[in-house]
Order: sequence, then structure tokens, then C-alpha cells
Amino acid sequence: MRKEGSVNAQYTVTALTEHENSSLLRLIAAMGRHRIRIERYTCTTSSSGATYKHVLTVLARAESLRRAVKQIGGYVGVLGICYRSLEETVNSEKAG
Amino acid sequence: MEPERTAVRTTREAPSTGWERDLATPASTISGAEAVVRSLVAGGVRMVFGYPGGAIMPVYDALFDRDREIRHVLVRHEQGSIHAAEGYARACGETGVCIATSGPGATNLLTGIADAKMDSTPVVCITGQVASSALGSDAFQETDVMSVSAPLTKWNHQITDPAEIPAVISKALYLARSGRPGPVLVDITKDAQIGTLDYRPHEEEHEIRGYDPLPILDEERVEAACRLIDGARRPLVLAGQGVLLSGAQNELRRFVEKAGLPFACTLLGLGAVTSEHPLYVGLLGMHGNYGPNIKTNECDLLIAVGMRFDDRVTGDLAKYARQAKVIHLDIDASEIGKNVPADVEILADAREALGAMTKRVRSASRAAWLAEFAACHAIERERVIESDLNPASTGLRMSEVMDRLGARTGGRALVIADVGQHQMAAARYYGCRDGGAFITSGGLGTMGFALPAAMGVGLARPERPVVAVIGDGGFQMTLQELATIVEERIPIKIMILNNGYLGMVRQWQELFFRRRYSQTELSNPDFVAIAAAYGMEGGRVSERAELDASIDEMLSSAAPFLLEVVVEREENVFPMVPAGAGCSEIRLE
Repeated sequence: MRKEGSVNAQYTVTALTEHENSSLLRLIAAMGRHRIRIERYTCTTSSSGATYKHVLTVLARAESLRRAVKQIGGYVGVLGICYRSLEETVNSEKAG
Repeated sequence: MEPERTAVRTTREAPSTGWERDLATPASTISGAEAVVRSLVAGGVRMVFGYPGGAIMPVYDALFDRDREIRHVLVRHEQGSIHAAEGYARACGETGVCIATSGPGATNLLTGIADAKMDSTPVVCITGQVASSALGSDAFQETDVMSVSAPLTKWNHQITDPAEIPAVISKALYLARSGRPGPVLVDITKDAQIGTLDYRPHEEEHEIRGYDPLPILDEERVEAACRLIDGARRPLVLAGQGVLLSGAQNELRRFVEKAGLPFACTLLGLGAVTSEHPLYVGLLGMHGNYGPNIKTNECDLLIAVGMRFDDRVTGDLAKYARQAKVIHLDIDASEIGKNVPADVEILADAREALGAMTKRVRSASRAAWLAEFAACHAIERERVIESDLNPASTGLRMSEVMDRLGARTGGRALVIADVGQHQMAAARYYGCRDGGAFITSGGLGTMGFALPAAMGVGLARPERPVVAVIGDGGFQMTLQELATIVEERIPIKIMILNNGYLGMVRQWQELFFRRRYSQTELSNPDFVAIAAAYGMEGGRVSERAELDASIDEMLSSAAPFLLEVVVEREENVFPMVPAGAGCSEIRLE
């Protein structure tokens, strides 16, 4: 029997980082370490050019993603990070 | 007549005084390499550990006549430089700095970088890199050190423009030391070292978006924590390295004394308060003391201070302190709730928070609860400690050797333990008292750490006795640093506990792999002869009757000294929490 939360589910992770290549390196490395599969990735630069906005669609176990996001949130150069489940994303888009 | 030649400097001459003059001027045009050295000095760095090579030669040239401002210690392997920098940082609280060339020089630092990350040690690594035009071309000694070091460092940055150097070096030193300390790597391309800049020391304060090294203490959480403590009947404090890093030793002592709280230490928290303190109940973890491991699963409140609930402390998380409320105090938000959910989370510097909690918490004594720890200690004494310290066998045991070292130094030496059985014996039996320290590779468990780290400790605290305790396996991983120790005249003492095995692995093979000793028996060289070959005094002891005298001879030497202690070959370290078991499933035999 599988434990609750042991099945990969889809999430959207949004991270704001400093405009440095190493931010992307760390983000991807942390995802790999927690065995989080990146399905889609987009990165945009803020109009001032000072911030990267990374949006990742990932397949992950809830606990792995929670830990990864907590870890990434502590990195120097990461200004903010959050994640939503697919359901939350859909609801949010409907509401928006 | 020969044409006039540019003088080739072959010996170190007194440094020019022009440098100080330069600093006073609004800006001076210098090379990037010179700016590296000046920026380090401006940042308060007085000692660096390193090894030269092609891509870092301009920096070495800039160091050549700066030995009055900054001392360079030439190690014999780059891994030695970073462990020495770690030891230096952990002994004196300043940032350790190491320098290496590109490619293998840089990759040889990686184990130490990972070690420093796990153990929150402030280290700045400066690596040379091929010229920016050659990046990505697989040039000689080119490695993508940025990518490989990214997950291991607190921050890393590559400099290709010399104008960046003052600000980046200053930022690196600031980041390594502030908040939760950690390793930072600055990679500098050769053209950035050779190019010029209008140098001005970086003096502005660093404001780094999203980085909050000193979070504001939430008084309401302090209040909530104190309510839990006041209402607890069986509380237990878990003190980690955060206590040492924030200099909160006195605050911890006042806090536990006022509230009558028994406290245990993690491996890296040892030495936070003297091991003789009446409220100290022992070492946590896999080979820790019986009482704190058992009582973790019987307490009603855990107060975790500057520790991260590492798996060596918790054992199986599903069986860890399920009955207890948890207060978790840490400076790193990413650690709080990571492994063990907390009922009260306090994101703060340990010193500040413990001070605030001491003011609010009620005075109490918990004699009955403390008596339970004493009862556990009596069991451990009867079943483990007695035979460890007074063995029936003729061979020396690591435990008694560490006990005697503690007795002969008064527990006031700075002990640097390598990794393995001897590390656990040292942690359990050395008995660190006020003025002493216990430094080891806790998180990464890096064999080979102790010898170079002890060099750094010896250089940081020359007034203190420094003893490296190492197994015969770990010693052979970094023994080349004997040359550095002799050359730099660092009077550290080296105790090799030689059992002819990779002892901890052998113990596991005995207990869990049906005594199939696969690749753990070592055929060792003559360690005393090796010391002599490097020009170091040494001795060997294998008899109990000669142990004290041998330790005294080692300690009384004004020079570096290597003492090989031949110990029982198949000694096991107990107590032990088997892998995958809960912490209260600790085995005494």
C-alpha cells in the first residue's frame, strides 16, 4: 500500500530570484536533489531587469516539494518562492 | 656590460609601505589580483590557506610581498587548505579563507566546501579560472566550478571583470559569516586577475534583497515558548552548534539553570557548556548517551536550540518524540519544521532568544525528572562505561585513551576529532570543559578532516593546547599536511588511534553483515617513522601503564608531536542506535 503523499502530483512552482545565472543553477540542482521532475520551465525578466521570475511545472511528492521549497527559500538570491497544486492553480485561474 | 635586468625577487622582502598610501587616495589603478589581496585585507583577513597553480598565479604574485599584512600557509593538497580554513574559522570565529587554482585545484576543494556547508562553517574559497575567452572551450584545467559548487555553497560568483572584485570579495566575506554561516566560492578568471581597475575598498554595508541574516525576534513566540516550558514537567533542551556560533554559551547556561532544564548536546554542540554541569545529561545521537536518547521519547517538551534534527540524532523520524511538544529555535528558517514539526517556531539568533526566554521563564527545579537521567546514567555506567574505562583486556581501548586525554589536559585542550569510532570515543569520553573545545566533521563525516583542521586551529589559537585525534584510516587520507605542520612550526599534537581497521565500518560489518569484513582491514605503515621522515617528533604506546606518561610527553613538547596509540583491534562503540531504529531503541551491547 502506498503511503499518503507518496504519489507524484503536478504542481506549479514560482520563484523570484536575483538576476544571476547561479540562481537558476541552484534552483535546478535543488529540484534534482529532491527527485522532483521538471515538466515545463519558463523564465522571464522583470522590466527593470533586476529580477528573474521562474515558473516551473513539476511532478513531485508533496513532502519532497515542501522540503525543496523550504530549502530554496533560504538561498541567498531567492526573493520568494511558492507552489500550488494543479487544482489550486486551476481554481486560481478560474477566479482570476 | 650586461643590460640592466628587472630584478627577480627570490626571497621575501619587507613589503612596501606604498600600499597604505594607496588606500588613502581616492582610487588607485591596480591589477585585479592586487585588488583580491587588498580586498581580503580590507575585510579583516589575516591568514589564508592555499596552493598555487596556473590560473591563480597573478593572485600569488600579488601575495608575494604582502606577508606582513596577510599570512599565506602553503598546504600540500587543496583539500588540506579548506579543512585548515574550517578549523581556523571554528576555533576563532573568523572567516577562513582558502585559495586554489582552476580545474583540479578547485574540485579538490569540493569535499571541504560540502563539509563547511553541512557544519555551518564560514569559509571563503577563491579559485582561479581560465581566461573568460576560454570559458567553455575545455581549456587546460578548465572546470565548470560554478555549476559543481552551486549546490554546495551558500553563495558563489564568477568574476570576469576586475572592477567587480572589491565588492564581490567584501560580499563573500559578509555572506560567509552572517546569519547561518557557510561556504562561499568566488571564481576569478585569469583576465580579471590581470586586468586593472580603479581600486577603492568596498565600504558600503551589504543590503542583499531577500537575505535576512538577523531576523527580528518575535516576542509573542518567546512568550508562547515560555508558557510551554513553565507548564512542562519533563522538558529536555537539545543544544546544537548554533549555541556556539552565536556565542550563546552563557545564555544557555543561565537559561537552563533558571528553569531547571536538563540539557543534552549534539555532536557539534559539545563544549557549549562544561560537561561537568549538573544539568548536562549527555550526548545525543547514534552513539550518544543512553539517558538523552531514551528520554527524548519520554519527555513532554523538547527545546531545540541551534540544531537541525539530523538523522543521526533522531533515528527513525516516525518514532521520534511523538509524545512531546517541540520548540525549535534556529536562525535558519529552512531548518525549522524541516524534519520535525514544531509547536513553537522561533526564528532568531540563539543568543538573543535565549536571553529573552531567560527573562520570562519561571524559576523551577525538576529533581524527579533529573533523577530519571541519573538512573539511566547508572545503567549506562554499569553496562558500558565501566568496561570501556576499566577493561578486562590487556589492550588499550579508545574510550580509556580519550578519558586519560581529558584527565591530562583537564578537558581544556582544543580537540579536533576525525571520523569514525575514535570520534565517538572522543565525543563520549574526552569531557570538554570550559576553555576547551571539540571540533569535528559532524554533518558530512569527512575522514581526513582532523589533521588539516587542527593546523587551522593551531594557527588560530596558538596559545591553546591543540590535539588532533585521528584513526589510522583517516590519517592516511591527508597525512601530507605533516609537511605543512612542520614547515609552519604549528605545535599541534596528533594522536593516532591505530586499530588496523576502518573501525566503524568493521563494527557495522560485525553487527549487521555477519562479520564479513569486506575491505576494512588496513595494512599500515610505521606512523612514527613517517612523522620522523617529515621531521616531526613522535612516539608509540600500546601499554596501559605507559599511557599517561606518553600523553604527558606529547603534551609537554613545544613542537608538533605524533603519538601512535595502538588500541584493541575489534573494539565496538556502544551505546548504539541501529540505522533505521528509533532513538529510544538504543542498544547497550
